Order: sequence, then C-alpha cells, then structure tokens
Amino acid sequence: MKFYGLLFGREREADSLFAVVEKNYQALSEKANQSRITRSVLPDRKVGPVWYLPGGESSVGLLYKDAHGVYAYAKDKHSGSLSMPFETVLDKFGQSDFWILSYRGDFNRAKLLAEFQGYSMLKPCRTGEIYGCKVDSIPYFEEVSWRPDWLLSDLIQLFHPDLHIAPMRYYHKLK
Amino acid sequence: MKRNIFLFVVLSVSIIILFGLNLMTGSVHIPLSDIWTILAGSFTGKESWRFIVWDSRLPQALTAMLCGSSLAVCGLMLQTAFRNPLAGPDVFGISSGASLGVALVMLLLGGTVETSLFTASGFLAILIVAFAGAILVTAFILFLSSVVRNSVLLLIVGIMVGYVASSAVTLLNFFSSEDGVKGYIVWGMGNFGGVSMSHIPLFAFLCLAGIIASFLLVKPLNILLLGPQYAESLGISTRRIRNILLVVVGILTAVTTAFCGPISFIGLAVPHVARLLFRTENHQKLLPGTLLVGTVIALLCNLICFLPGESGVFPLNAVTPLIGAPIIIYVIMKRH
Repeated sequence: MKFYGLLFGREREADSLFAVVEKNYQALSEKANQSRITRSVLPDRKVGPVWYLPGGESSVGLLYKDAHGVYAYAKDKHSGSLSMPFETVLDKFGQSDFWILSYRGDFNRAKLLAEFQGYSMLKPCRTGEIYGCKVDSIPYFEEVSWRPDWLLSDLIQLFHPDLHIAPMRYYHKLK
Repeated sequence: MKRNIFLFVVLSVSIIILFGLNLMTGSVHIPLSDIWTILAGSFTGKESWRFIVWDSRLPQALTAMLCGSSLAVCGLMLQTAFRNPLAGPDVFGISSGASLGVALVMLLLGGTVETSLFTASGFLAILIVAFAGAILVTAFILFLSSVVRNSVLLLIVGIMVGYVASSAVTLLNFFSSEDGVKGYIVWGMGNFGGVSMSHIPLFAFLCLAGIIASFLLVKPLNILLLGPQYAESLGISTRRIRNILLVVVGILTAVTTAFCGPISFIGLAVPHVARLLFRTENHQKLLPGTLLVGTVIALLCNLICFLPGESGVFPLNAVTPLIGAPIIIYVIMKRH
C-alpha cells in the first residue's frame, strides 16, 4: 500500500489508509488472543501427488499466527509453500478441526470427495467443517494483500467460533 | 541358458525386495513389524497408518509394477515393429491424445464431464477422457496404418498427430487460470499414487490383458526382426501384425496414461536395458526380460520419488529420465 502511494505520489493518503488497516488488524489480533476456544486449520488441497501448504513464515502462515490459531507448521521457518505428500498431511492434519480451500466455478462436497478418495480419511470431511472461497467471483487474491485485516477477521471467526465479528467476507461452508 | 535363468531369478528377487521397500518407504515412518500386522489385518493402532499402507503405499507399488511392465512391453514391440531404437509409447501421440482430453476437462470444462448419459467429476472424469483421447488417436493411427505402407512414414505421421494434439493443449493452457495450468502441469508429471485400491482390480485386469496379448505376438515379432521382405516371404502379413500391435500398444498406453498420467522414458529405455542384460534379440527371452526390468525400474523410480521423506516428494517424470537418459547415451556410445 505504501509502495503504491509512493508510485502514484499519494503518500499521505496511502499512509493514512495504512494506519487504518494496521489499527484494525492489531485490534482483531488482540480480540483473538482473548478467545477461549482455539481450533486447528487444514489449508488447500491435493494437486496431483503433492499438497501445497503454507510455510510457517509465509504471509498466510503469519496470518494464522496473528489469528492465534493452531497450525501444524507454525514452527516452520519457510516463507514460501511446502509441498507434501498425502501421507504427511494425513499424519499431521488428519485430526484438524476445519478445512479451508479456494475453488473456481461450481463446487460442493461431493465434487471435493470425487477428486480423491483419501479425503474421506480427514476429520473435517466427517464433521462437515469445510469452508470454501469462490475465487473467480470473490476478489480474494486481489484484496488480501491490500486489506489483510478482512481476511484476518474471517480466519479469527473460523479459529475461534466463540467470537462473532462480522459476516464472513470470503469463506462459506461447503455444502 | 544358465545366464538367462540367473538373470530371471535376480530380477524376480529384486522385484520382491523393491516391493517391500516401497511399502516401508514414505514420509511417515511406520515400523516394519506394524506393516506386517496391517497387511495381516490384525492392526489395532492408528487408523491413518492402516490407510497409508493399504490405500496409499500398496496400490502405489502395484500401480508402479503394472505401469512399468506395460510401458516397457509397449516400447519393445514398437522398437521391433518399426525397426527404430528410439520408438516408445509416447512417439505416436497417444499420450498427447490423452493429454488433450485431460486438458479439455481440466481447463475448459472445469473438472466435470456432463453428458446425457452420465456425469463424472474428479478422478473419474480425468480417467474417462484420457482413455477416450488416447483411444481416438490410436484409432486414427490404425486407420492411417491401413493406408500408409511404409513404417517410417507412419511413424512420422504419428509424431505429427502428437504435435497437433500438443498445439491444442498449448492453446487451452494459454487461456486458462493459474490454478488450471498448475493442475494440468502436475498431472503431466505422472503419478503412480493416483490409483486408489478400489480401482486396482480394473487397472490390473486391463494391463495384464494387454501384456498377455503381447506374449501371443512373440513369434511374429521374432519374424519381423528378419526384415519386412523375409517376413512377407514366410507368409506373414506385416501390415496385419503391425495393426494388431498398434491396437495392443494403444490400449496399454491409453490405460496407463489415463490412470497415471503420461510417464516418460520407461517405454524407451527399458527394452535397451533388457537387450544389454540378456544379449539377445529373441523375443521369447527378451519380452519377459523387458517385462521384469520394466517392473524393477518403475519400483526403483517410485522409491526415489519418496527420498525427501518428511520434507516432500519428487514428481515421477523428473526421476524417470534421470534413470533412462544415461542408459540411452550408453547404448548410443556402445553402438558406435
């Protein structure tokens, strides 16, 4: 944001906007810290033989930390993504509380399970706690680097079901 | 004779050892004693471990064996029939036909096939269209085979068909989303682990049917070695043999590409390894030898894919050329 401000010669506007985002973000993170329930997350899904997971120090990984949620690779030091075989995911994330993923077009739980039989071994498939974001109609990728506090709000409500902040902007439960 | 028996025994033992190693290797460490109890059905520990051994590692090892043997046999038959040491199952564009089908479903239709007869999505959709695409290309090549007499010309036409399919795939990729392209590219890297245990019986049946059919072609293949003129003078219709061969190769390649994606190099390199080991061109020994070597190499490649252990996995088509290319270079060096 500040960089774009410099680029377009509107630094003061960018700085003031950034201050708003930062204040909101920190407030949300504080609220999350006070929650009594914390759940664990399973992100994304299998592409061929690998499952791409965010590293502990990646932008998404840091969001999970700031939301005070449980993520099995929180202690990982990578700032990029990790490519793991399904065995590892089953071992480390098999008992996750909820699953979040992004999709395009028409998608539902039946289609998800049709992709790979092994998904049924994961706990979120049995409990139904699968949340998707339709990225070809919701500007997830476009907004996230601009207003990370909006995504943080969604994540906090997923990690801590006792907190209610606002209707979820990106994720909805997959039918 | 003694050498051949020795080789067969060594190869068979290697297969058993590699199969066991494949069951023991993965990113999750499962002790050997537990693997035995899981296979025996009396395991009472973690449910995920039972799944990993029965539904992940076991079908993956079986798939590797079936793919390796099928593709190796295809490669041998093509190399003999077309008298070309560089012929392989992917040379006729059969894999490209399968790739085009998969690209259409993944990139254009968004992963679901809906017709008036049925709706399929996910793995099943990929399976059906890959098989259909490969069979269509095979049928086209078969039609051309009845028109084009010269084997070299048929080979060239086949390669051109492959190029046309690839150009359509390039177009589809260009207009797709990031996720679509990534999904398609990863499919193209090959994967022995995509076949679930419930699909193994069908897959095994199709592969074994093709392999048994190829064994029935041993005598004609031996005669083809003499060259087309001698073969014709012995009363063999080279065109008929070539057509039967194309059907068998087409179906085997279609099945393996549909279930595992296009797997490079095994069909090309393994017949040469078998020729080096068995020192014969007699298909009576060479065909079963190629089958065994193909199985060994496929199991070995699958093992190498899991070398990173806890930190990840290698894609299959990155490993097979590493094994295959040095062999090809060695063959070329040795010939000249």
